[in-house]
Amino acid sequence: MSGAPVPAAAAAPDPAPAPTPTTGSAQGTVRRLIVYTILFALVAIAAGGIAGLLERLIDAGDPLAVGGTGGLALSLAFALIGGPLAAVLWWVVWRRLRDASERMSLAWGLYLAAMYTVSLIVATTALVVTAIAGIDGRWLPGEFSTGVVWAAVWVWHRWMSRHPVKRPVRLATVPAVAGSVYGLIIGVSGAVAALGSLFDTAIRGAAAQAIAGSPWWQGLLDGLIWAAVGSLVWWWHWYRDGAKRLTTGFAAVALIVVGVIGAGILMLGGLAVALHVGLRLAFDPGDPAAEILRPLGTALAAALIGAAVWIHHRRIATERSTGTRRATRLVMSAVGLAAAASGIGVVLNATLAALASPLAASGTRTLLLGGISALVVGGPTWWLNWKPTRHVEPTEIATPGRRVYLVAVFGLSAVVALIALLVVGYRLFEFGLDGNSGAGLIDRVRAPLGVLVATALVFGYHFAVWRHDRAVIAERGLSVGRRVGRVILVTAGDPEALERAIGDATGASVTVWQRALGEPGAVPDAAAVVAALDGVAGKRVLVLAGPGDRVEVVPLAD
Amino acid sequence: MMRGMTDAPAAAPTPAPAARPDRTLIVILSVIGALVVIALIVVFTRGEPEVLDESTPEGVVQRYAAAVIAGDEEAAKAYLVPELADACERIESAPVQDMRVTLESTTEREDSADVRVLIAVSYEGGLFGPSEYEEEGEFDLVADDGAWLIETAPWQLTICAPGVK
Repeated sequence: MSGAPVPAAAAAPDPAPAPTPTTGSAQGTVRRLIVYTILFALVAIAAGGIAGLLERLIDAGDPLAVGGTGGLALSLAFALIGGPLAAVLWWVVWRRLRDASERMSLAWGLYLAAMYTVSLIVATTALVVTAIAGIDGRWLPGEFSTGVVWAAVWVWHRWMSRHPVKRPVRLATVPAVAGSVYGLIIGVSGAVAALGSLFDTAIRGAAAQAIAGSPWWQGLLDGLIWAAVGSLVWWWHWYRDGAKRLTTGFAAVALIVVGVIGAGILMLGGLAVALHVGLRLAFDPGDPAAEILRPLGTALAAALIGAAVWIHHRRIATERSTGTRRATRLVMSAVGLAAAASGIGVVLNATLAALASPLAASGTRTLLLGGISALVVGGPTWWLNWKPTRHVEPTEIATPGRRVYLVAVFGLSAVVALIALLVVGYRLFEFGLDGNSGAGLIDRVRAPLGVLVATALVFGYHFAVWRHDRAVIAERGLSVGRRVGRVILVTAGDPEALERAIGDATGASVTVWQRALGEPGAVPDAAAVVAALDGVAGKRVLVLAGPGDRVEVVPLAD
Repeated sequence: MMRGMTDAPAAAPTPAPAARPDRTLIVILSVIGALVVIALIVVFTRGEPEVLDESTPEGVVQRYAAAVIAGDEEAAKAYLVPELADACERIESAPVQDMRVTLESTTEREDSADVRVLIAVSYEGGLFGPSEYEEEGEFDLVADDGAWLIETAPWQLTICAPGVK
């Protein structure tokens, strides 16, 4: 295993001198895929084994608790077989990474991003659980050793991902984004739990929680620890590693999905629940107040923390580019629309529930007030983001984001409406064949009927807007979508600057084909290439850049 | 963004097609408004559920279910068969807040009856409003001197462990 660097790939002649000509070949891709998959598994196995041995070392005090030697044997096998194999394989891989084509491979970037994220998650989770148990007076050597070993794995992979020479070229920024997303999620969950517990205690009084069990500050403290660790992880990746300033597609998607949609749903959900509690206190006094107030603390915490996170990310998204600004508006209007539509469905559901006389019931009002709060929170959110009354510029009508949004909304609402219709039909036939009571029928169809009516309204509106947009596009002869879908860039030398300039100017995705000629050659100026692309349209465009100042742009047939 | 493509007709904005979604929007908003108003009126003016005759199986089931939902176990026990009520081993019923029991059908025989009901429970759903799940249940009743007593109830509404003599 350790003699020749590549025992398996017999076809590769001599890996050490000169860049190998097999760059991007199928064989090389498969080899790297297998090698990195095995390395991933071996590192995980070795880490598990070493953590198990470390646990026994720390916890050597009570030999009575050792239930057989099976666990020890497994740890030994994992550590003593997995460990050296992982080390040897890593050494082979690390040596090969002197080769530029290895550093540019997707598998190396993917491996590093995956192991970095996994080790970060395992280490922080295990260490936080140890800390929480420690405060509670319990000592968890297993969790602690897992945390320590995986933290070492994390440090090791962080060092590799920042190595001046051998760090991956592709997916190089994924660890920073993944780390910031993970930190944000656990930080926000911890903060909501902590603040929610504090609010709960304030609202319902310490006595309500302290009848039995752990003291009231226990939940607060656990939440605070998660919040502190999450904030640290997030701050480290967001500011120190610069995930905040990244403009890659993955960073943009993470920003919109987690920072805007996730935080938006948290904030609006908290608001809706708080409103529901308020409405129930005012109009539905059937249940005891303590019962009604139960979700209020967490709801307020979710609304406040969600709002803070949302505002932070929305500002970044609006400043970053026109695309992310539009995407922010569209996703928020989609969230508002979903909440409002769901609220309408629940309102109709509650009306039918009140019309059908039940045998016994406790409160249709709760249902109705819940629907109204979803509608009251979702409706204005949709209105403010979609602005249905404003005049839409024709250029905006033709943007792919708006087109995709409209098609997605009315497509999804059509699917949901179809399912609801099938359920209603099934219930009706069931009623016709079984002959149950009418009240039973209404009770069975009211929920799907509410969904059906709500989605029909959503479908109707968006279909009308879509048709209007299409008429405007046809009338003005606007071309929909981006002018260039994909650019195939053929160049010698370092393509990075050109790739970025073309991507920024056209919004197209860029595929680089390196020239076979060995000489690096002068690459034309990025501005010249962008100028040559101006006004060019087509699904795929071939760009020949270099040698020298030569720039040739060839739109390809679809 | 769309530079150099359509310069000529951009001067005259056509207001005509813009009116269409607006009309659709007005119609939809009025439908939603009407729906909410009707819902408020219906839900807030609707009184208690209509009371059924106590001598029928469904009347007994109604009183029993209402007592369990109200948390009045003593009153509920009065509708159980004596074997169950006297040696009642209390078990906690499922949470009965936001529970709703609707009559599906009644099968009445000479000395026994089955009452099928639909039990719907709603729970808090955050931003998207409350959600509901529903389940069918069946009460078995036996005749007792012209009245009906409950022998078994669906698990959500059971307050005495069955099978204990």
